[in-house]
Amino acid sequence: MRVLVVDDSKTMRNIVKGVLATVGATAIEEASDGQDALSRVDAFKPDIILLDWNMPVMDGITFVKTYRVKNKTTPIIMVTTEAEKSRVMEAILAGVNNYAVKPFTPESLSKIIETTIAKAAAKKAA
Amino acid sequence: MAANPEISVRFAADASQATLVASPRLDAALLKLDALLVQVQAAGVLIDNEVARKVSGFAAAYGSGLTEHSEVIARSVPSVPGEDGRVEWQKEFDPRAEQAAANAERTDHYQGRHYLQVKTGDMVGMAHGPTHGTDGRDVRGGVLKALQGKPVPIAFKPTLVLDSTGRIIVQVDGVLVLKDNELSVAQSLNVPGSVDFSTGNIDFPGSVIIAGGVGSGFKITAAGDIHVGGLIEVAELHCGGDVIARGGMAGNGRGTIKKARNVQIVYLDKVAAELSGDLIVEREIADCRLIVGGDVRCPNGTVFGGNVAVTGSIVVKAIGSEAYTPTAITLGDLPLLQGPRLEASKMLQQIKATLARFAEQARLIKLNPRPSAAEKETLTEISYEASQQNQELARWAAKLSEIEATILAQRKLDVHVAKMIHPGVTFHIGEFSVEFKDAAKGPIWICWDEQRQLMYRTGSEAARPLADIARVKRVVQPVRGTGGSAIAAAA
Repeated sequence: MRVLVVDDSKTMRNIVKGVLATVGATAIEEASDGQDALSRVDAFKPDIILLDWNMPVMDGITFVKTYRVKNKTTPIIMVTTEAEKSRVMEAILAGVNNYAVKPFTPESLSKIIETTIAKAAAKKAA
Repeated sequence: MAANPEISVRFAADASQATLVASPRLDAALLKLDALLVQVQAAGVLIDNEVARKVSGFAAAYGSGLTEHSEVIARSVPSVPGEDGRVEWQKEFDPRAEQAAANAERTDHYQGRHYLQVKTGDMVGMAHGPTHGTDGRDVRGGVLKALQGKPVPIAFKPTLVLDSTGRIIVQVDGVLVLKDNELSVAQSLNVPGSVDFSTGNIDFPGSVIIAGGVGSGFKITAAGDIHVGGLIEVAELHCGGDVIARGGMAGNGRGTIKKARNVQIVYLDKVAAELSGDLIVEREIADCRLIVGGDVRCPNGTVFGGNVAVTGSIVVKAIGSEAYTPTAITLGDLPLLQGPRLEASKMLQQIKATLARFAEQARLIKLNPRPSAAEKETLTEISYEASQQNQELARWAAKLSEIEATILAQRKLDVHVAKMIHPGVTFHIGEFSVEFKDAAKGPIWICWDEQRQLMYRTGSEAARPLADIARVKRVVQPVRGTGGSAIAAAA
């Protein structure tokens, strides 16, 4: 599984990478903001994207909107402190597949990742 | 043209030179170069430019010819013998080199090394094969055969290989030995005499066999066994295998044996030793500090003075002395596992302290009913770090549990004393201290009974409480689940 981790905090990227190691990620690419992520997606071709909301240069929601124009299928999990219902709805409408609210535990995030991958696989099979 | 008898060619017996001789008062026509060359060639001399030049010079030098004239006109070209095969040693691996010279400037003569340690893959030198030499020729043109060089005067044993370019490559770790023109790598180091200033300290990746003894101040480190034929003085022995000594060890309080497996020796006197296996001593163990992972077998000797910790059983003739020498025997413990056990316990404590700190940090953040984004991120970090620490906690807990299980499985109390336990002897057995104030005559066997009471037996008599013949005190409460290892824990 190829995973793109997008977060401006290196610490948070490391934490997410630590969780990904337990769910069978084979290749992990890191990006520090939405713009950086857009420049990497074509070459890296991720199977899933884990994305922070609040980032400099280009935030997560802008990335989703831009990315979904050309890619409708690659699952995106928003990993963020933005827990208000309105924000969650905005993200879902923009094309986010799942949502992990900080603070999370490694176990809860790994469960969200596994659920998202399973759903994406089922959708693809259908 | 017929040969002129007035002109002749004389040859040396080995045809190494030819001399042209002309009688006096010859007709000048006879001394023409062409005529002379024909005559010389007819005599059998190989004509070349040099010979032609000499013959030409002969005619000129004849002059008025009042006397007989002779001149060497040809000399043989001697053969050049081939070079003998040889080994060009790498400087640091030349076994012929006088190591003493290299060591002469050392200030620490204990560090002098008098053997060549090699490792697999080392190139110790280059073998150059013999050359054919160059053939010569005599004055008649006959070939003077050159002597071929002799082969490399060294045979290479299978512990070294000679590659296609002549490089001599070591195949096993060991010591490079050149003996009787045979080059080999010995995997055991044989010291024909004693370890002293002639050998220096020894550090060898295999076994070391010493015909003599080991002098004071020297250190022997061997990955394999150490065999010693004589007395071991105040030395340090580090050994990955067994120590087998035909003599004793007089350590004078500073002699040590470390990391050994089994030790078999005649006696130990004021030695500190740590071994994972059995200790077999022919005579006495006097005033030593010993940690023995296996059994102690000293059936004809006495253990007196010092402190001996034994995991397994003890078979000994007597313990202590008539002079009431204080002698401490720690039994049924695994001293070699106490280090890892303490480390595991310490790690568990540290991890638990870290987790408690994380919990407190998280609690303080959660006091805020509406934590900021930064605080939420911090909580995520704490949660992740705690998760990692919990994994470490589980790992160390499993390790500690494994050590405890090993201690429980291996510890035993099995002491056989054939003759006497003298006053002044103290046994530390788990959480108990057993002091002998009076002599206890043997044969005596000390063990646990089924109710885990300390018992003793003499001969075929029924077992009795050890408290009948010694003062038994519980020094610390037993640690739950770890039985009698509380002394170490208390220490």
